[in-house]
Amino acid sequence: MTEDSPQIQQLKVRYRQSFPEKLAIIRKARSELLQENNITFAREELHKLAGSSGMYGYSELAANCRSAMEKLDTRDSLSSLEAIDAVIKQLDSKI
Amino acid sequence: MIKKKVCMVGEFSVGKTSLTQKFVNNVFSETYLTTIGVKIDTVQIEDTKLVIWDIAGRDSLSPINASYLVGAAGVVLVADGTRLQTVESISEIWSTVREKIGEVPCVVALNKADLEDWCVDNTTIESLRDRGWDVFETSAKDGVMVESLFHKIVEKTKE
Amino acid sequence: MRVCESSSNIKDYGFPELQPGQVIDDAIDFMIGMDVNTKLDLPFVASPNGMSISVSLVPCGDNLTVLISDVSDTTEQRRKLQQAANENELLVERQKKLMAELERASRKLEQKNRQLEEASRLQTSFLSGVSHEFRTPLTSIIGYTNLVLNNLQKTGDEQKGLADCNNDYLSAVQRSSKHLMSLVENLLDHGKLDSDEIVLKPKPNSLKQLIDDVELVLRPLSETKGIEFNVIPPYNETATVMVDDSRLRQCLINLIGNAIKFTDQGSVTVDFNYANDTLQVSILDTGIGISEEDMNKIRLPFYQASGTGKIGTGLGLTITERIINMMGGALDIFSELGEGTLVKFNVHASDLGSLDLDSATRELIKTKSLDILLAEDDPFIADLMILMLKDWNIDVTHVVNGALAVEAVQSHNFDLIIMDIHMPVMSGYEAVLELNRIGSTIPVIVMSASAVEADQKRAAELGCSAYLTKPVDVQEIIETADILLSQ
Repeated sequence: MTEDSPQIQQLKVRYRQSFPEKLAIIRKARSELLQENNITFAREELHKLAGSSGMYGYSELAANCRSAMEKLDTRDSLSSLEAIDAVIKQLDSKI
Repeated sequence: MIKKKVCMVGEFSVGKTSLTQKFVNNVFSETYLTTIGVKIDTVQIEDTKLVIWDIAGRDSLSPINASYLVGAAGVVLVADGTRLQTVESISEIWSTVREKIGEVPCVVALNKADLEDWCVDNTTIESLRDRGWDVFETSAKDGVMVESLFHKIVEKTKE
Repeated sequence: MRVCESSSNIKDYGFPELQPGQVIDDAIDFMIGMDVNTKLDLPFVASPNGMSISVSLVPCGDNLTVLISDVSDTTEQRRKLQQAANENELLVERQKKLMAELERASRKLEQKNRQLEEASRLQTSFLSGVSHEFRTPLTSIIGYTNLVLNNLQKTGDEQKGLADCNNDYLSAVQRSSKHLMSLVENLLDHGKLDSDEIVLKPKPNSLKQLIDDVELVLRPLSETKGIEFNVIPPYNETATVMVDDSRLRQCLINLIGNAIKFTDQGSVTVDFNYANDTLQVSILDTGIGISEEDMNKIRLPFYQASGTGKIGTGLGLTITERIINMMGGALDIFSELGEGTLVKFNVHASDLGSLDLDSATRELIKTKSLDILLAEDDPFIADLMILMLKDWNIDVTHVVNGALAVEAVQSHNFDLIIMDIHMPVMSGYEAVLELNRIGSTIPVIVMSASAVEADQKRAAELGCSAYLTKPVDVQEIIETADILLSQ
């Protein structure tokens, strides 16, 4: 593929700038999972992040999100939390 | 045996007789029959003999005859919840009572709660309660809150 | 209080016989609460056996005398009188209440009636306005074409110098035709507004280019009227923004055009500001202003302020406000009659940075242009896909949920639909179901972040053409589209 157009590059910058916001959402999802066992919210947000991060080339982050979703589906809360923590750590490292 | 005289007072056609009859004899009639003078009924509530003076309502022809109030241990102020002016005149009637027999215990019955054109709002009810009165939304027809009303006034006369 | 003596006839009234020494209020209820000093007249007391009696308490010395007499006759007369009077008063009260209700109902009805009349008046004046609007350019078209035809029939010397003349005439015809065209477009837009058919097609635009375009169109208008026309661009006008430029231009031309139309002297000043992905525009004029009465109605379709001597379809503002709302913005109008008008609005337009669009132009591999509908709720994904597809000469219409996708399909022919599964309001699956129901045959590519087999199976069952897992590569879409569309 040819190199990205300047607009796409710009969009990628903006996407990266949205990481703090996304981090806050995933943290919220983590605490809601912990306190209220709100699996739906966590799953939805991970799903969104998996979709967009993959599109912007953050394949490892997307893979982590997908793995966290799978953990959530097994209803194993401990490994779900671990997987979400991995997503959080990764997001945090990119800010 | 304790004996207590309690007077039913209020505008005409608010349901003083209906409330009394529902409580004493458990009967109700839709027909309006004006009361002339006073009807006296008695009923036993626990250790108390309650003597209810069902006094003719105030109307265009006659004010309330205050003589009937003499010796009363308490009053039931009755108004018709579908006719706002009968609620508004409660204050005036209360003045008549206080002038004649002083600050006796008092409860308020807003009657005809079963009817659809009820027009008393919560603000009005709160303002009645602010005067220290217990307010009951009664229905002589369905018997709603009728027992509570009379039991309350007996209780208050004994305080 | 005890009984000293009593007459025997008290039994006739239903009272029990009294024994000397008996406690009086044990036997006679009405004596409860009384004492020897009570002096009292109690008229009309119902006795235990239902007779009407009059009771008088008269203290004498240490004793109290109680006098009872039969007043049945007077009571009966009084009862009749009082019953009639009370019933009468109740009737009067009831009547008053009914009258009040009747008045309330009739007031409501009157109001409703006025609204209906107003609506019908607006429709009628709209129709006459429209026919008038059409007649003016049509008359000029017919007139000028006649003149041209006349000139063409002339021969020899007469023909000299007629070419210039014809050119002028034809320019006039063209102007009128363009005007007619815009009228028709306005009417169509209004029809679409009613059926919610307008969809936005945002794409990268140079902010400066957009503002220059609008100025270019409107400056001649202001010059004709001899008024000052100031355009203040934003300090960051070099920004490239994501916006449906044709719709935005439509709004700007309508609002600024109105300002010029209603300003006969003085100036029209347009101030652009761009920050936080939002374009703010304020249009200040020194025109005739808007009366309070008209202010309440100008947003209604077909409404035209009376007495201004200006003609239009009365649809411009309705359409403009609707489009602004669709662009995530709001329109505010501040005015007083004779004091000019200030119109402010804002629209959402994502900032793509200060870029030169021309340098972004890339070699396009695809020669045949494609019209794709993209249903995706995540703006980051949508914007990225729109940009990537644009590079492949693919025109993208973007909607944010399944319901809007179905709506868009009903009003436009797309070559292909790319549908995200997880969307608010209506999911991708629900939308595909609905599309199947209305008989759409447009191929659908389903797109999801989950590679769950059940999801893929469901997509296949629904007749979707392909299932792509995010991250979706544009190459992948193009290849899929190529395969699908060549089938």
